[in-house]
Amino acid sequence: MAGFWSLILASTALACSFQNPKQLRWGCDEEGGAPYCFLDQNLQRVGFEVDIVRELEKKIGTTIRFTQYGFESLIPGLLKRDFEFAMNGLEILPERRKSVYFCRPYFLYRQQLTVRKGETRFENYESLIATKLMKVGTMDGTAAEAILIRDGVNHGSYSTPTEAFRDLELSRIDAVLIDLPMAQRYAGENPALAPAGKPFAPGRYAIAVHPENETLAKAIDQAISDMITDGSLQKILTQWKLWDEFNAIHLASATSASDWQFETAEEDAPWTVSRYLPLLLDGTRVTLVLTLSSFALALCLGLGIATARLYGPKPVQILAVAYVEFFRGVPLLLLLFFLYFGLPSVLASIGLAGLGEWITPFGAAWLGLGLTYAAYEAEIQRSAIQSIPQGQWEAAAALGMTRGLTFRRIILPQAVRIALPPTTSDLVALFKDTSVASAITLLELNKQYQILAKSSLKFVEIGIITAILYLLLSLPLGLASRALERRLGAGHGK
Amino acid sequence: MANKSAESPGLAIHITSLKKRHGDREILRGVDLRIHPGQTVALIGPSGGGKTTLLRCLNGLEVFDHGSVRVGDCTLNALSGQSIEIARIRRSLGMIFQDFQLFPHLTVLENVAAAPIWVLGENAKEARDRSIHLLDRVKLSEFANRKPMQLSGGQKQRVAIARALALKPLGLLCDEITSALDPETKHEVLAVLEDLKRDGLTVIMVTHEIGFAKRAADRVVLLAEGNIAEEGTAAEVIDSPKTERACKFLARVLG
Repeated sequence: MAGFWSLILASTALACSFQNPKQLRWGCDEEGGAPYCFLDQNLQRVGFEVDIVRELEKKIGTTIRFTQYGFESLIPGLLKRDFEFAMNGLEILPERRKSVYFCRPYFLYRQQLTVRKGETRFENYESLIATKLMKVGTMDGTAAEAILIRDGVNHGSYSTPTEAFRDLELSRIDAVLIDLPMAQRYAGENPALAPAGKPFAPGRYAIAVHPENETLAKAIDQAISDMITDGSLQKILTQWKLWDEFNAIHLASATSASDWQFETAEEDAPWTVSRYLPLLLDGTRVTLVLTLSSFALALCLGLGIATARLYGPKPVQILAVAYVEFFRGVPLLLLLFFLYFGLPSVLASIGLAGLGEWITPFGAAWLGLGLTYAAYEAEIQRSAIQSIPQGQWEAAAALGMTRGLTFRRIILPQAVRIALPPTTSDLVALFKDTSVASAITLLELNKQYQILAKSSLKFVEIGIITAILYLLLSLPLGLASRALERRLGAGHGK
Repeated sequence: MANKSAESPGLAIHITSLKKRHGDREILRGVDLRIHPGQTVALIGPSGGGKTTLLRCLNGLEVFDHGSVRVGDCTLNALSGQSIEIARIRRSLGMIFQDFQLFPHLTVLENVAAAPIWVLGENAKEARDRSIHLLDRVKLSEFANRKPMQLSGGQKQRVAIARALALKPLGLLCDEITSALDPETKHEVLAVLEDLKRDGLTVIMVTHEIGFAKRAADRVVLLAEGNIAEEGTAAEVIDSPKTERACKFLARVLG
């Protein structure tokens, strides 16, 4: 059990709200690359965003702690309050703006097309589109990807710029379209590569904050404004060779509002299956892990309660009955809310605040589902055990078996076979009930569906795919348990 | 005939003024019975006369209110949970039930080998070999890997006998072991039981098979309304009953 809990801890960061104004957590992917935030040769974390964060600390008067987070999960991580703000070359995209608040932009990027030196088939992005034959590399979930999708360009999305430029050198792709800072950093000093055409399609990098955290949003907005006014931002960008004419002219007037004069490409970035399916699959994985782990808890606990009710001393029997009636009667949603939002303060009030910090969305969902379904399982297993004829106990007793031995070797194996069909439907019910955990911010399948459907407004399309994913999981569950039933049930009877 | 030789391996069973009540109903009203090692005793009598209860008192499946039971060198007293004594008795006194009570989730072989492995702690291989041998004796070794539900009633009861013998008991308690069987399969079971007599086991059987009792039992005990109404050799009790109650019962069962 301890191992399981530490696993949960390791995999899911704590969902704490902005409790300590003296310390902020900054969500960022240091594997995303230079010049944003990366490790130098001495394994020191450097980058122009690191410098901006240092300046933010001074301006806001807090310390800021770096929190490593996958680039593509930064927005969900922020929503889940694994950190207070995300800053990692996050482009202001329409779908993102729907879920988070973007502060004042701190840099204006443009897209740069990079090709192999000596490329003659096309000379810029327009002529590349005209050929309709070229394959272009870019990064996952970026504005450049949205542009390529919009223009119907055959493209491949990489998770790091290094991979994209390596494949360009290896002629696996014909060009790379990527934000200018990355193009300069990764291709600028490579003699085999060269820029093609001028930078185009400007966009804004901004710090993302949870929409409900207005205090912090205002503080960061003010700090960025101050940094623009006092020249500290220009100084940092110049040091990193990022300050250019475009930023000099437009950065001081750029806001995070949706109608920015230069943005056209991003507004109609389409939500394709390849864009949302990975997120749905991620949610499917969480749903599956939650189902199996909480059902394991329900089975073990249920058996304990069933035996306590059948064979325990009177007070224990009463407790077992009370447990079953309580957890069968309390709505799961209420229980999850209590465990996730209420329990930490209860624990804090009895001096166990440390324990409350362990309650992650996954942990609370696991416990809530496990406790609830243990009550159902206890009843199923109790009636199964009671349905074994008294004669079986007597036959075993007459052979010199003790009650404990008889229970383990004779009664329980038969009871399991009887309990299997109702337990199976219990498992499927629990599987579907995992969707309730979306109410406590757990990013399981249903929650992912909600986020994606709201971002893309494709409620029907994504809804159907989500339903198919649920069915793809529940049908095998049913088939597998029926197969198990047949195998265990063979030769059953007197 | 009534007394087997002293070196018989069977158990001596002494029942002394045994009383048992169930609520208001007196089921046993002071039963005294001495069974010598190696004897085969048939308990007959009308339903509700206390035959099965008497049998179940001998291996501790029922507690009794008064009197004592001595099986070999173990003694059970009234109303006491003497688990150590009971455990010893159960190892030396096998029991076979009317409704078989084989373990349905185990194979025939596993049913027989279960107690030797789990209770006696015998080596699994050895226990299985011995179980095959016992199944051979009840002529069911080719069914070793079947599940009980694939067997006929007579076959099931023979497995139950092999299972009881697997603990190497010195005596057997048989509770109407042919009552649930059709006439054709009854004799398979009775034949096995007769064969066991040669081993010198003490056998106490509750039975309605008057013919079999007459042929196989050394002694016949007629139990009615919680008392021993009559006892003696089969010839004495069945052919020339002395009490009115015995006459009535025998007239009814013999038609």
